[in-house]
Amino acid sequence: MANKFKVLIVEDEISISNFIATTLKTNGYTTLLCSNGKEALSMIASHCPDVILLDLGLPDIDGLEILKQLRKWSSIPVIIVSARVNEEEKVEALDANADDYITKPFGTSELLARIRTAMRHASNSNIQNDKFSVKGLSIDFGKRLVIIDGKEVHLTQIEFKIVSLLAKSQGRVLTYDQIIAELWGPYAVKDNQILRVNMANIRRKIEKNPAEPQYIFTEVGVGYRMVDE
Amino acid sequence: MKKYILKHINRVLFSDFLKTVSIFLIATLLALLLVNVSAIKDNVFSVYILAVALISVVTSGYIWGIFSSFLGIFSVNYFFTYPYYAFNFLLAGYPLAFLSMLVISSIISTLTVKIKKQVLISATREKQAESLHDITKRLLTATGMNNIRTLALDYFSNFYNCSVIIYFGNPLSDKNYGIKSLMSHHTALFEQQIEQNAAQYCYTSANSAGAGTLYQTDAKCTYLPICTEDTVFGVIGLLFENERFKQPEALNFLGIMTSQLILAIERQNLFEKQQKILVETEKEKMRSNLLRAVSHDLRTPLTCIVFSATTLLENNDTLSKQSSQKLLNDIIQDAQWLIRMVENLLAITRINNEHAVIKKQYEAIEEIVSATIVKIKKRFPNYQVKVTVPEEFILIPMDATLIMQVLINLLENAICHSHNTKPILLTVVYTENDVVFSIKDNGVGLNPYEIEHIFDGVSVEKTGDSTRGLGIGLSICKSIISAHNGTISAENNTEGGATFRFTLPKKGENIDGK
Repeated sequence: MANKFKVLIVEDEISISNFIATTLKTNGYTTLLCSNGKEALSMIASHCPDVILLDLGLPDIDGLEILKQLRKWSSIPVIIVSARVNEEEKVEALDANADDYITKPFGTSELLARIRTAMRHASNSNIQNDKFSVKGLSIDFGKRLVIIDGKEVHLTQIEFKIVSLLAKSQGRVLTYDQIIAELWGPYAVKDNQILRVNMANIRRKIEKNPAEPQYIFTEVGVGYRMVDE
Repeated sequence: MKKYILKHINRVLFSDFLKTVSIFLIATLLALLLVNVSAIKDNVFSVYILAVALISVVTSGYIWGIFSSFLGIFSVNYFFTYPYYAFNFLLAGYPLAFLSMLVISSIISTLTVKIKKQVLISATREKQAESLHDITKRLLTATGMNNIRTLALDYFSNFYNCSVIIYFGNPLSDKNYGIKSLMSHHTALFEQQIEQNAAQYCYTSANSAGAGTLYQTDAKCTYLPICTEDTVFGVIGLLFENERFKQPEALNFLGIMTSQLILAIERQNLFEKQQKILVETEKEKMRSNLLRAVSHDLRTPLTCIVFSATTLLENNDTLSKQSSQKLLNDIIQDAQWLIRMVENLLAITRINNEHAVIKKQYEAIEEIVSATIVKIKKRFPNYQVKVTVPEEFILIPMDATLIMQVLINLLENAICHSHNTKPILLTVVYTENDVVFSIKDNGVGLNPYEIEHIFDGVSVEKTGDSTRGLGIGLSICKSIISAHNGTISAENNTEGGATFRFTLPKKGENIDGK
């Protein structure tokens, strides 16, 4: 195949990058490897990869710093790969416009799914003719309609905005602050209490069992995500 | 304030004058009556002496007694000696009568004044003793430095009727102080740099400083150290509106009250030290329990992985496809087991951190539960968990990662140890003060002997490999729930299977989030 997708793997642990590269190659991607931050920045500029897998714990530059520098001039999808577990860091990376976040250890299927999502999001192909649909949920952005299993659901203005925002970033986690900034403007108070109450109402309207949601998932301490595929 | 005092003095003078005059008038009328009725004049002097005695008792100071004795002499002269209703001091023997009456009345007034003073002193002493007793009693039962300080502030301020500041520790660097202010501008005055410098001097030198002392006399307050011979605990500052703070006796009493305060502080310090040691021991115990469990729980799967991988490498040609598949599956399973162990260990480091106050934020129960279920479904796609959460939406303070770890551990236990595939029930209900989570399986149930110690993390060795991880996982659950001030328990259901239940308080302390 001539038009294979190019994935840049920035990872300082050889065993991990080997395993990722092998998996990606068998699934039809081209891979580029590099093990430190400086190399990564120059390789991004020269190779223009389709997706970047970025480890946060690099020996020379902090992964987050690379992300911030990259975002000044490019919107190439970046998936953060990290062994660090605290939510603050996830939130920080996502707020710096990382496309996704995957925590070690992870399985191959999960990794492939995240890469697919990131690339689809980059091409904005999940919304056609102003309409969105996943499983039993469909949204008509023009008519401001939300339909679950053929039945129309009545959402308030804010609720509809939240749902359509998540739908437009389907598969991606949006942090509390990102959602608040989209809905109430960049200077709104960063208090996620109101958002959570709205979310609870949305769940009660569109999910069969709010404790076992099918459409909108919670990433505890980070934000919310609309179900993929 | 000065005007007020003058007014007060005027009022006292006036009332004493009224008393003197009225008693004197009554005595004169009585004497006139006596003379008219019996015509004997011998009792007239006794009536006046009685009047002088009475006046000395009811008025303050010597003046009124002496004044009234003069008045007595004059009125005896005027009313009862010849010539009647006229003064004549040249009568024979009159100077003697005059003198004796003067002496008698002086003695009486001196005595009454003395007695009154005594009464006043003993009343003050009693008040001191009473408040000392009271403060001692209250300080004995007070817990926590802040309570002790508030108590002491109230007492000092009540007793001396002044504004008080108490510093614990170094006034300038620790800034750990409490103020009881009688006037609104006093608080600001206490916080002025010059006052704080005086307090600081008092603290470092262990001498009294400020107004009325030898040092830092430009400060408006008087600062006294709270100290024993070798330690300074803090500083008391007293602020009087007028210059009353000069009586040495008052200072003495302050010393006694301060020593009570020191006793209370020392007792509190000891208590805190003991508490800290207790917590340390508890932590130490948990750590060693954990280490023991970990070494057992990590070694087994690692051995399996190494063994399986070596077998695959060395016997690649001779192994049947089926058996190599089985070995690979074993490796994956053991590795996944190790991953879960590591997650538990991470949870422990989150609570076991040196300054181990867990970071609680308000979280929605349904979000925590659903995120947990997503994780569980990823690991065990074949198992069913039926979830029920209340319709009402509330936010509970917790460390979400830790509570999710508890739910994961309990659900995994239910899945791995119930030995069947019937759905597991995860139910959340609200009670008045708590949120109750229960995880119910339909498995073989627990060994009744084990239930009591199931959260202690010691059952591992007894039951061996078949239930590996049960111990450590549950003991971690227990630590997490205790750190949230909740409770955790396990029981066998009457219809078979086991139920694990834990509670979280709806309202918690130390909340960082909103």
